[in-house]
Amino acid sequence: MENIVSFVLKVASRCNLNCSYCYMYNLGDKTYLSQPKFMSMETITVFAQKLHTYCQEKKARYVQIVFHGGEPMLWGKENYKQSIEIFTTVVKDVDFGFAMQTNGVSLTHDWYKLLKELNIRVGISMDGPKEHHDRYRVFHNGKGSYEKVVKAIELGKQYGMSNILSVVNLNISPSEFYQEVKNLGVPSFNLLLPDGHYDNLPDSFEKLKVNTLHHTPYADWLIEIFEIWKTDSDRPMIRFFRTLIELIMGEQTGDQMVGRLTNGVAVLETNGALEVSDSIRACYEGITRNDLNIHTHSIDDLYNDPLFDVFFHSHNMVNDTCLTCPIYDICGGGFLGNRYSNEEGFDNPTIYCHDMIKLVSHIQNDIVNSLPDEVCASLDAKEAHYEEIVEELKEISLIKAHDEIKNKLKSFSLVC
Amino acid sequence: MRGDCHVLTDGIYFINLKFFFMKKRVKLVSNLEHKSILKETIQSSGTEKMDLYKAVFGGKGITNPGTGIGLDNCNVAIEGGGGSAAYSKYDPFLRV
Repeated sequence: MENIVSFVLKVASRCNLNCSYCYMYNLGDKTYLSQPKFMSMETITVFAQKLHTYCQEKKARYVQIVFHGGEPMLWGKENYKQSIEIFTTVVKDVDFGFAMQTNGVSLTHDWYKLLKELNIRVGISMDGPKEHHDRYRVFHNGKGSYEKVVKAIELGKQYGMSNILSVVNLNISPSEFYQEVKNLGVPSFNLLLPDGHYDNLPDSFEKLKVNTLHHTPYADWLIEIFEIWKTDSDRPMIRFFRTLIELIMGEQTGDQMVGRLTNGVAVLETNGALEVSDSIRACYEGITRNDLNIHTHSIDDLYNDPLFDVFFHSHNMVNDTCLTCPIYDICGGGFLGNRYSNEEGFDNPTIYCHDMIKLVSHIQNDIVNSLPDEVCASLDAKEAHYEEIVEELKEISLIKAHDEIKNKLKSFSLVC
Repeated sequence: MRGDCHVLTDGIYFINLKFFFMKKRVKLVSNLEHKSILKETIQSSGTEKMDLYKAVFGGKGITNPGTGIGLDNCNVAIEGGGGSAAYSKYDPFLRV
């Protein structure tokens, strides 16, 4: 998969919520202030024309368009109608997957009807039970958004459009979180690890203990959820776990976080700027900014952006430690943004390295233990234990990353 | 030619080397034959232990498999341009 498959359109650069952990507004990047509030139809049209050329040149048959923000619903219904019309008319011979990631607070019957009609799938951001959700996902006046979000999810079930996305919050007990999702009755949800890097760690990490044997708070939380999920016969799908299971079982899959595929994700900013996936912004102010704009450049020009080059190949451009790690084919070195440090740039294992080893080995062990002995024998499948893998990583790596790759990863260091 | 080709070649080189140095193997299958054995075992299993994995690979136990947002990684075969082409509805943007 060598093409950019997923285009994330920042159709609104502002948001009606002010979430405390938001990488757009509260985690290191203020460049949104220089953006227009909304994407113009002229930008959509120019993008569609260049997308058509790109798809023809790359022989791309499928493109995902993700309406994103800020809060994409602030863009208004008429803009969605017009933009879908433009995409499907201008970009020929391409199958589109349209999606929107929203905070959900503005979703009404009318919106759901329109989104269904336009074939735009909806993902709603939701952070668990009211007490916790409302601590982070607040309006600008500080009021929590839980009630409105739950109402939107309930409404969405009538339209078969109720899928949620949650950032892992270790302050919520896994059983409480899982029960909350079950109570909402959604068919699927996804879990994201919090944004953060070595110089701006997520709250639950202790700086000196990151990637040490007994400090795996995220793995411990996720394993507890996994165990509850596994024994629930009426389980919703959890995309993160499903992807890990598929990878362990040899499937070629993945995303920005895991797997070995290329990261075919590009962001079209509100003003038409073409950039790397925006959650990388949590690294430092302006890291994703370049001089590319859809009004003056082709989509192909993005491949010349040094950050895009590293991001696109980030599951192949990894730290030396990853190259001999038994779970590298599963975790792919982790999400690029989580590998960042001011000193080494992206030339580090992810801050979630030990968490991922522990989680992946737990799932792998469970699969091996679930399989009949004769099948394990024919596959030569054996349990790979967390402690043994960590021990193995301590040995001096005999495989080194190519100098060119190492230099690219380190080039984003802020230390001269 | 851009650097990515070079990079990927290096990547493959590293992957191949890795198996000589690694003591533990996490991925359960590395060839099509093994993949087929694994899938057949899972899909034909009637045990409770395998219920989750059966669900992941299209069996029972999932309320609404493959229909949710972010779950659209299905392969699609289409006819077009005088011949058939297959592509994957790959969804690398994990937020949806």
